Amino acid sequence: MTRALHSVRTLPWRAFLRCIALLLERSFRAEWIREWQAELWHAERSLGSKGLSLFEVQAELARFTRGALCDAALIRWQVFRSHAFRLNADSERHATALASPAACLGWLLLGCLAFASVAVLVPGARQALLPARNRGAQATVRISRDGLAGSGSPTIRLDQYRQWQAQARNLFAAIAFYRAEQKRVHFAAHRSADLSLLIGTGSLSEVIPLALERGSLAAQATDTRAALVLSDAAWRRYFRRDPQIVGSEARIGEQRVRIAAIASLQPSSGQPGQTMPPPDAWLLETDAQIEQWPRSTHGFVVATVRPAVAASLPAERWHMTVPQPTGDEEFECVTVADHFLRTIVVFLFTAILALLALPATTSLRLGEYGSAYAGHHSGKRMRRWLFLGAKFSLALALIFFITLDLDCLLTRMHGGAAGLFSFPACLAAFRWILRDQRQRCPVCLRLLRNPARVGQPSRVFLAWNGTEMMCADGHGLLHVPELPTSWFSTQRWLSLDSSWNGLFHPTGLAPSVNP
Amino acid sequence: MPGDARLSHTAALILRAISAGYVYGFGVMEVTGLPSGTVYPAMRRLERDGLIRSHWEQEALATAEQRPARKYYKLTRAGNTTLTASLKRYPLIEKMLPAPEVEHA
Repeated sequence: MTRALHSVRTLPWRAFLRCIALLLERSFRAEWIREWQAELWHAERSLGSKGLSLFEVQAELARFTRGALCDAALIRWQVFRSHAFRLNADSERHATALASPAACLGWLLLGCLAFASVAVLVPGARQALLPARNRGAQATVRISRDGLAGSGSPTIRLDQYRQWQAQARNLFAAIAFYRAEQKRVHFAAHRSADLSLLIGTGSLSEVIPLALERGSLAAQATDTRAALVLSDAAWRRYFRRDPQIVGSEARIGEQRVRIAAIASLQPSSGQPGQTMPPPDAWLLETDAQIEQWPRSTHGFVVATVRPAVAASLPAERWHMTVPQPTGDEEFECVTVADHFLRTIVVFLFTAILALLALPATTSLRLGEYGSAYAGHHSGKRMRRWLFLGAKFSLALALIFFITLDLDCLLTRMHGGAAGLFSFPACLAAFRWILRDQRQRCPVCLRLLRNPARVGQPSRVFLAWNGTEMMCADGHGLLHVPELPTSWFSTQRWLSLDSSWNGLFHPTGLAPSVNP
Repeated sequence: MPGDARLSHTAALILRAISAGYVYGFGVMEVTGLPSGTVYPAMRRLERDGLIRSHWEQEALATAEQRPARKYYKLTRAGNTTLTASLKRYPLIEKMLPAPEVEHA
């Protein structure tokens, strides 16, 4: 009975304690509730034994449980401070992770290796990293008039193609001619769509690697109709992956064509003019239909170089001279899977742009270190410059691999915006490299520590004010001016001689820990 | 060092109360006249600084007496040292606290 009476009298306060307990972390909550409820029980019994009225007891209990709020707030604050200390300790640890030059270069190298590993796993990037001659037994080249390889426009006439087809059998295992057009294709069931087509010779499927997912081109040899090979993307977009479409007939203007297969483009194959997206379909016309094209029809030519010849070719780009009655004609042959070279060129271009833009964003001066190497081996100075060069090299390699990975991943998704990444990344990397170099001791190359404000900003014209940082090994002090002046324009190194060694901890200053 | 810790008058009073045998929080409240919002947080700080240590009563003992088990506090060696130093600083504390009530812990 007594216990039940106690329970009823303390019910609202026990509920109040449970509400306050929600301020605490789960790990503290149970014990805290148990402690305060026990104290509440004894407080109620003690107050009840003093002959107080019910109202007075309740008022006292209210005052008592109000203290629980202060107690919970204190515990919460202590937990918060311990978390904040852990975060500060973590950031201190992270800052010291780059303190030594070996650690700094090690992290950069680790990043390079990590993203290079990703490049090996991404199919397009892996193929791009391989030398051109190792990309399969045959090399596929795109032939253009000399100087117009990157124009994206058709430069080869049909009669020139026919000439090569007849005369260059020793050079090319297969050669194909095609042109790119947008045409309206009428399908069965009154469906039609405007498709981007590559209309070319039947040998096009031999030269451009099409992975046939459905159907085949075996019947093309006997069929008088041209074979239409839909891309996987167009099949999904226009026909919702309807398998019945394969083998059916379509109409392009007055021309009847057979939908022979569904294909996807291998990521390693390229298209003339790198800005052209993959087509919606390939229309492979018969030889009789090709014969009816005007001789002056301009288009693109791709060919597969024979293996024996490919091994002796100089590089991804080479020139072909075709003797003509009216004079020799020069043509340029570019390996289709020239992804690597393209990526390299774009990356180097953006890196040079970033380098040119760097002076506009930050000062290039590393500071005055005239006295830094007095009493030290002359190799220390060289070591500092080598360290700077190593950081630049590793940073560029890291950004290159990231760009390559993004380029291959985004190109597959028809995004292609990876090139926009390399410029800001290079600029940010160069800024970080210079800033990191300025914050290191010129002798031991460790990060300087313990920045201390010196002087008063209000006395900038009468005295010096800025930041002083020290080398943990006692090699010297770095003075960084708050405001560059004519007599103190950049940071200046002050060497400390060996008489200062006794003040510095041999392994560096230990971080101060104040929980 | 804990012995050199400069305690406030309130903390020293609470420490004195615990050493005098008022081992429960409510008992410290009653003998010192301090509110719960002062006593319990202060005892947590004293425990954090290693001057006192908390223990839970045996559950069987509390159940036999038909009451919930309570947490009680005892001074550590460092707490004794600190209290001795604090009593020199606050000599009135010894006179403020009456003789300890005997409570079975």
